[in-house]
Amino acid sequence: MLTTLPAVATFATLFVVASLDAAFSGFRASAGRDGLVRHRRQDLVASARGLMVFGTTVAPLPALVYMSVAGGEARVVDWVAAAGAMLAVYVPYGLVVLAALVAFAVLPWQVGYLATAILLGPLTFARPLVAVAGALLAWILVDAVPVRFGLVGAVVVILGIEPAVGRRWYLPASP
Amino acid sequence: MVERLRASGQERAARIVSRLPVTEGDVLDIRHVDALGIRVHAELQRLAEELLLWRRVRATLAPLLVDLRHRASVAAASGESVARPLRMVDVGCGLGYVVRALAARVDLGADVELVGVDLNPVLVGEARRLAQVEGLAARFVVGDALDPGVAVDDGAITLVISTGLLHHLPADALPGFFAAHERLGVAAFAHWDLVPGRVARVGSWVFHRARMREPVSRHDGNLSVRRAHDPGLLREALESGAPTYEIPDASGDRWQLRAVEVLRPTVGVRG
Repeated sequence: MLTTLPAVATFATLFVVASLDAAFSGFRASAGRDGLVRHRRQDLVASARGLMVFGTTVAPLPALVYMSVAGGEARVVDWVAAAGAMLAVYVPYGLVVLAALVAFAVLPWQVGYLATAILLGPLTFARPLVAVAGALLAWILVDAVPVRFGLVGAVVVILGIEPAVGRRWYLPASP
Repeated sequence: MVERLRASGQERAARIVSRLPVTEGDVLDIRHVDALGIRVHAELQRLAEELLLWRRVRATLAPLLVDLRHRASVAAASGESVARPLRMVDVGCGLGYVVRALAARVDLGADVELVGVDLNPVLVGEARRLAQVEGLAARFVVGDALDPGVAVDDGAITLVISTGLLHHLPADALPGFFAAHERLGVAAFAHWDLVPGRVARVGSWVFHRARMREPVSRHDGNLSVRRAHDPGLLREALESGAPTYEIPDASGDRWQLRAVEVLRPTVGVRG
């Protein structure tokens, strides 16, 4: 059942959404540090670091899922339901963020300014609440201990990538 | 300083300052203060980038430069000698983000020299270093830009700008600030600053919480909105200090939603 199309599609989508979020977290960890006006390369490196931290921290997750199912402590449908619930919250949020980023990058500067002022800034501020909301919805829908353990871990990872990248690579030098 | 802040009711500021490193005699360690100043301004630059400040500046300066070039052409045609290049001076430039961003794109034209001025030698030194690292054609000077001889050599070919400076001046100093432009014969000026109001207060709080890491940045950012001058007061100060300057309509185009426009220019053009 782990390999049925809906299950694979759900997990894959969640992985893509989480990866994008991790990349942006890495980018945010580096932003506003070095004062350069041309920093595209630095932005890409920071995003890659966010992805690396994400990849490292979620590496045990497939094993956790497998062991919980094999041990009878959770069912595949529990994990799929939890992932689906998180996506129900994260995908709309992510689509709005992506749309705002496209507007910022492509449209006239006045529209880009509005995209930042009305959407990107407030959505970044709201991001921790969104992360918790997705996990909370999944927690309410799925009553399985390993899944709930995974949900807590997911929120910790989501919210921890930016500070972890900041501390590892972007701490200011002591004068 | 901590006691002075507490005595003036600034408890939060007192807490922030009390956590800064000190040397013997309870004196703030200047190396840490300087480093903090650079970090704070780097964070401010991040906000400026996201809010597309350099594009906003360019959009306002473009027609002013067209006018300036036209005046220079007319003067040249009538036999007057006209100094080149034109010059844009950014007063209180901090790390010189606007100057460097414009220099990176040569956006105002190759005939415009870009100069940033600040009273803080540490920030000016860092601005110079950053410009050098990125190979940008921009100059940075320590001093008061509106003192004669610092940055404005020939006012007739000079635009003076600032971003986020005016709220650092007390209200009774504003007429004198604008008067200095008239004394120097500056061709035009554009000074962007925060617009006081609920939108600016809420927006500032949200953005500083979402983007700023330093406690000083968060605290001062929100104070800046509270210190911002009413646009009407700025206009009165301009009319009083620089009465020969015309005030063009800077209300913006159809994209501009004034409800979320928290940064507006005070513009004057020499008549």
